[in-house]
Amino acid sequence: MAEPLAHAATHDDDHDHKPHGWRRWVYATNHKDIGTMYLIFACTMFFIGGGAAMLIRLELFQPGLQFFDPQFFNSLTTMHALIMIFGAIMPAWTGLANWMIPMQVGAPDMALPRLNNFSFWILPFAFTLLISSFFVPGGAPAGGWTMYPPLILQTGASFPMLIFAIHLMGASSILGAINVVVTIMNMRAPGMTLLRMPLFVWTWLITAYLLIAVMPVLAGAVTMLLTDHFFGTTFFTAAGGGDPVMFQHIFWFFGHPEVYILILPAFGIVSEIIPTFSRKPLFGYEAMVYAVASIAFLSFIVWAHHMFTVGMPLAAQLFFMLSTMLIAVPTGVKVFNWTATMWKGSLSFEPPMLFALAFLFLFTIGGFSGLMLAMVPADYQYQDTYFVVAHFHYVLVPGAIFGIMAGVYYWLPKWTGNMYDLKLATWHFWLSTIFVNVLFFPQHFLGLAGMPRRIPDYAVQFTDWNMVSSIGGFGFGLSQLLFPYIIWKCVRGGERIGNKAWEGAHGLEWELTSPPPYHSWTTAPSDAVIARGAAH
Amino acid sequence: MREETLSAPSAARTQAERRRSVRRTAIVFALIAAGFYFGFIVMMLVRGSK
Repeated sequence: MAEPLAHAATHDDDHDHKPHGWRRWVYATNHKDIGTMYLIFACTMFFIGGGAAMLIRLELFQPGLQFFDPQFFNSLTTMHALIMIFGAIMPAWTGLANWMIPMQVGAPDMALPRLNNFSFWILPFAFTLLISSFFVPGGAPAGGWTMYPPLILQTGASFPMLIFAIHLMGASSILGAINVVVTIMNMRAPGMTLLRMPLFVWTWLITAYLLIAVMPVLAGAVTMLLTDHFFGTTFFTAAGGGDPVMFQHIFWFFGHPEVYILILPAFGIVSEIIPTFSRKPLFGYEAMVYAVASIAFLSFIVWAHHMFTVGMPLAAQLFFMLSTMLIAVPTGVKVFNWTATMWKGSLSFEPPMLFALAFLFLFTIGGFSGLMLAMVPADYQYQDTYFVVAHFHYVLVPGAIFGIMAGVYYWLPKWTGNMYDLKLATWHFWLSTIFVNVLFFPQHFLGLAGMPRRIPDYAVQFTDWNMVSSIGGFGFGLSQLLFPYIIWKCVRGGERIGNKAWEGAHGLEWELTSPPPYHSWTTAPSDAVIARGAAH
Repeated sequence: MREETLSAPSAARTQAERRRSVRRTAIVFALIAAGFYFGFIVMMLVRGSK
């Protein structure tokens, strides 16, 4: 670390004026404190959403209705999705962005710290509102996370709670995204050019633009649902001249970019980890940046592949099929570059690398099943079956969730100054990887055999693979308990590390002390330090 | 790497300039986001109710 910085860091620690006790968290404006709160919140939601998933798998262990009535089962699937997408994965990314972006671009903090506080504190209210809908007459929303009318309009007292909660989540995401864009555009250290930025910062910048562009679309769609329900409009009611299919178009115009909002930061993290543990620079840095930007652009013109079966002109089917398949090109560039980075590298397999490699293999499986779903004639068979469930869970669990875990295992020593229990984390990896495949791979078979999604009961011929899938679900769920335990143990102590936790790591964050000072870069890093960090 | 074609914050940039720049970018993006947010809602309500 540069000498003036070392002085500034010490100075700052002594006179940081940081509040203590509950005020430190409620009034938090420090990017690390807010990042920590986001990550704790996301972890809590991960276990609540995961609890719902385990109840779903419990019901599906055998055919017939075992524990829940169908309405409650549908509430479980709906709430599981909403909690995992908006409560676990998105806040986890924002938490990682808060922690890492200022440290990686050479800034003391996020550009808008008070806004940062506000965008976090919206979330606990939004999710308290959403989860408490289980206890109102009619129960929690049960129309699926896609909220298709007319079914969703039959929701009971929880309907306005759902709409308001979604508005709150959307507002929180947009505010967080604005903060990320403003920070990256204005707070970079002198010399930190755009093409010197780490891939995690790049992917988050593009994700932030996606968020700003599509969250308002969701807000518009759910507001129309609200007025249909309470104010007598008939946007989506055929009897009044409305069109339920229009909702699907509007929803998926938001929904498909949303998928990339969930996965792009994982691309960034994997692009940090693989070079570190291959002890080689990232292969094709610029190509990676352009590939991410291309994927983000294409995500806006493929939405109707989610709704081929509603009936649309042949030309539209062809357009959406081909544009969807086009996404395989930049994605292929990324997979090729990650593989090429490892080629002839000096590889080692610490937990972050293990999770990154599992991401590489398993996310690619999710990508391939996505290509199968992109084909219109095939999609007519797969639509609304467990094949779709298997596809998007391969993308989101060993994709997004493993990406988050890889990131946490990569940077946790930096955050705490302690190395975590590597053996236990390796156990966590193997248990997660084995059980995630036991859980989701059989769902491909179930879908291809014709088992529909979102049902609490099924025909007896689907029993065996459902049992296997449920066993995988219980195993995966229970093995996740290791994750908070490993983090808690690491926070409490462990082998002390220096500035660099990993021998092959590059980047400005590794130039700071571990744990880093309260304000990250009070003096901008020198050009030499930046050049050393940008080893691509 | 084509760094010369991309903007980097100037080393000579003062704290006040940076603060102004942060404020300006924040306002621009806030206006864009608010325009999208309320614009979409109003557009959908107006067009949908015709």
